[in-house]
Amino acid sequence: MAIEAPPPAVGSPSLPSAYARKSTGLVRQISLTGQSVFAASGNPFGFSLVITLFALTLFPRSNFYIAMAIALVCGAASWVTFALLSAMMPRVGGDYAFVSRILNPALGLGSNLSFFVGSMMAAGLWCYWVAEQGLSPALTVIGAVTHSKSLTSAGASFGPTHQVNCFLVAAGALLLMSGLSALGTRIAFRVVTALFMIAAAGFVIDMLILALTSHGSFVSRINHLAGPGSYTKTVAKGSASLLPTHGYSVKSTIGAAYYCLSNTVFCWAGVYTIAEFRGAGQRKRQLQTMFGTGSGQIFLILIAAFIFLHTVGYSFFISALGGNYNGPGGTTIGLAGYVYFAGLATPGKLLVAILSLSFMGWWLPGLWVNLAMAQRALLSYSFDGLLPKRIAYVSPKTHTPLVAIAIVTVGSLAGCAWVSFSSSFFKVLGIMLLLSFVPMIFVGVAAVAVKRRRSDLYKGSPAEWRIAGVEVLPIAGAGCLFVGVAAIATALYFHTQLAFNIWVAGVLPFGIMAIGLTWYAVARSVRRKHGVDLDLVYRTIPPE
Amino acid sequence: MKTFFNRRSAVGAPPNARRLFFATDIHGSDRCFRKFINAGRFYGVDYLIMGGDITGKSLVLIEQTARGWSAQFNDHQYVDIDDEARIALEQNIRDHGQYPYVGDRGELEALADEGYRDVAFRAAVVDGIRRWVQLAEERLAGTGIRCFITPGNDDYFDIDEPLQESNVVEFVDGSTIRLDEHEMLTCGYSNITPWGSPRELPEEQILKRLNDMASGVEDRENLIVVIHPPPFDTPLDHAPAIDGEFVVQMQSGAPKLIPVGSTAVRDFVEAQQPLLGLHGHVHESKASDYIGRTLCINPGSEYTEGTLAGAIVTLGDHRVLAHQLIVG
Repeated sequence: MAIEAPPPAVGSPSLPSAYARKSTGLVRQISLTGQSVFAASGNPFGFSLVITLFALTLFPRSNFYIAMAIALVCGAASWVTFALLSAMMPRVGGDYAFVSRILNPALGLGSNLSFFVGSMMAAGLWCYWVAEQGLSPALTVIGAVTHSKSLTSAGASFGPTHQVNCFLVAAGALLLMSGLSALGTRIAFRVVTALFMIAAAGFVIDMLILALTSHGSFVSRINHLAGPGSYTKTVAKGSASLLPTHGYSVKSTIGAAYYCLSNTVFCWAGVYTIAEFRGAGQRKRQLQTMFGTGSGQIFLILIAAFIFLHTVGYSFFISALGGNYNGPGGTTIGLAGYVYFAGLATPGKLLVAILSLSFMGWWLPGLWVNLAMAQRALLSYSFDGLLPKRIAYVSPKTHTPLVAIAIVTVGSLAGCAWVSFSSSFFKVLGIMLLLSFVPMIFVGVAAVAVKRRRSDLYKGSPAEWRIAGVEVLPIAGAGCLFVGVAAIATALYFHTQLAFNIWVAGVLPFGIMAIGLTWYAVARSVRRKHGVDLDLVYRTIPPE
Repeated sequence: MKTFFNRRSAVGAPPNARRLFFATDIHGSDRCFRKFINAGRFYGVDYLIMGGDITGKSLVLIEQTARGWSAQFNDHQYVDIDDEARIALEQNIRDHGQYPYVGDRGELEALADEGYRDVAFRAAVVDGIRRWVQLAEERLAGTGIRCFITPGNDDYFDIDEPLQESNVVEFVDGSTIRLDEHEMLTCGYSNITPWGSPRELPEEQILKRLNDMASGVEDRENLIVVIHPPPFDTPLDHAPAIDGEFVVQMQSGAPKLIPVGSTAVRDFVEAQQPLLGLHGHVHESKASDYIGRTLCINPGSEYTEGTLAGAIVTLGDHRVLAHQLIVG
């Protein structure tokens, strides 16, 4: 077909799509890297690698790589949904803002309350992990390679059987991060970013060391440190039920996929703060941040897991993780397998000490992000009149929400005590992850319904994205809804492996939802007596 | 007729209370302005107050091609669309606070000239304001709802005339007017910004302007001040710091937030202690806070979504009975 006229030039280098006049607020955007680092802080890949590898023992005979691939596909649906809704509605509050504005404010509160409770439980877990997954393995590894019984013993004293020690360290970490939060967001961010970078650098060096260590060298190293034939003995102790010698199990792989998903999907929690950044209303930017961070993290974990399992050996690692390994000085590997074995493979005691301590850098950033999310939820509730305004009090000196920080600290301390004195932290982890899937269900419904319920927001917005003429948001939303429901159903099905009581876990989300609905009704009634109609906060003024 | 909307005014408020709705910084968003006009009946208020920065910042180009119209807007490519789709696109552009600029390749390329572009901008802005005034007159005439509009620092002086010509919209910049037992003082100027926008003044001149206006006020304890910039170093005035190239400054992975409000406004509020301060200017700092007895509110702005951020305030004699921030 002949071209009758020059192609449209709008949007080309010769003719921009728009001109802006000189006016306040027109500033360049924060870099994509800056946004992505922030989103990644809630899901540090070193932590995710440690936790996801544990799926191998929780779900014996599962195929880790297929499980991660399933996690990637399922995660993609939620990342796209949250990215598009954020581009359409770039507001602080994340899922609470989407659900309350698109569906119903009471539902928004109910579903977000699950995430809020989950965040405080998560904060409790991260505090606890400072001791059990940070201090304990670091001291153990250093003790093992330096043949120091006192360090090995110190490492053991922060293990799961020493609950008081763990609680004291955890409470100290919580108070430290809450104190930093109260002193100023800038100070807290500086500390968190520094720790994140240190941990990331340690992670990369660990992986390089493992990649450059041949399997044969690693076996020799283990036999040298833990005694002749230790490697073979450990493999031999691994029962047939643990090892995939008779093929992989589909059922176990599904369980492992849930576990991998639940430890990688929540980079969407970055919407709680990303909405504050300029350029948040751009689809491409949100997709790059959300999808890029999520998929990037999964690929990183896959590469790291491949390197680790290739060098250490699949059967040996699973057997060791199952408690069949007796290391130098009577040490066991605990949960942080890659840190332990990378430590043993590392030449030079000083480097071992540095790398082992760098691993501790993951825990405080993770703790801070969870505290920040819970604090922001309280601010959102307070802004909307669901809590007294005093909750949103911001100190004129530090510009931090001191009351919200105090409340979240107390709540997280309770979570911390629960984890520390529980028979297994997996019990708390399982319920926490389960609760975190609840908002995904409602956000999925909101994404499917937005075209009909809030066409004024959707039509012509960046969220109205079509690929080959097909609207993406309703499909991604349906996917997000399905993933949320399927994840909860899977978790309940595998409740034995995930170590929680099916009745408690099954009732808890509904209980929290009921509390949310009641809370909204009470707040509405109370505020009405003060001359404030809470319903107006969420109601759209008809433009016509 | 007692409408569905009117029933809202009864919620918890004493019969002699007065209610106002305040919004600001809608930056040309047609949808936000339509909501603002409708907010009077929707919230059952007596006064509608628009606090400045009402005009848009961008021209979106729509090119006439041999096959129709083409444009790029809001992450969407529009190629060779027909007239009906173009009209819908133009409205979509206006709803998001920007102005459509339609022409052939030559007309659009002419905008590369700064002088030509400035003329085009001003024409689009004034045309937009005239349409809004007409809409306000159609919808508010006879309702008894008073509508006050002040320009802000980003608004050309060209828009004053069409606002002043209206018999429904009250242009209030630089004046003190009586509402009921309350008086209202209004100032659309801001302190100096890095952008050199049309209505900026040094702090000392803002303070003098405010003090001059306040000198004629009868009862300062019943005074409402509508001042576009918020008081300095309060929860109402924190924005990301930028450098000379207008790049947001990051610190430790997060935007560095600094107070950008007016010291003159803070000094004025601290000294005069009016009943209520209504502010805007800093979209990111949606908040309410007290300076002494004065309740200061910045409802923030979410105009890019076509969402109207605002505040409903119920006034009693010498006190604020209730206030709430809404996103409508």
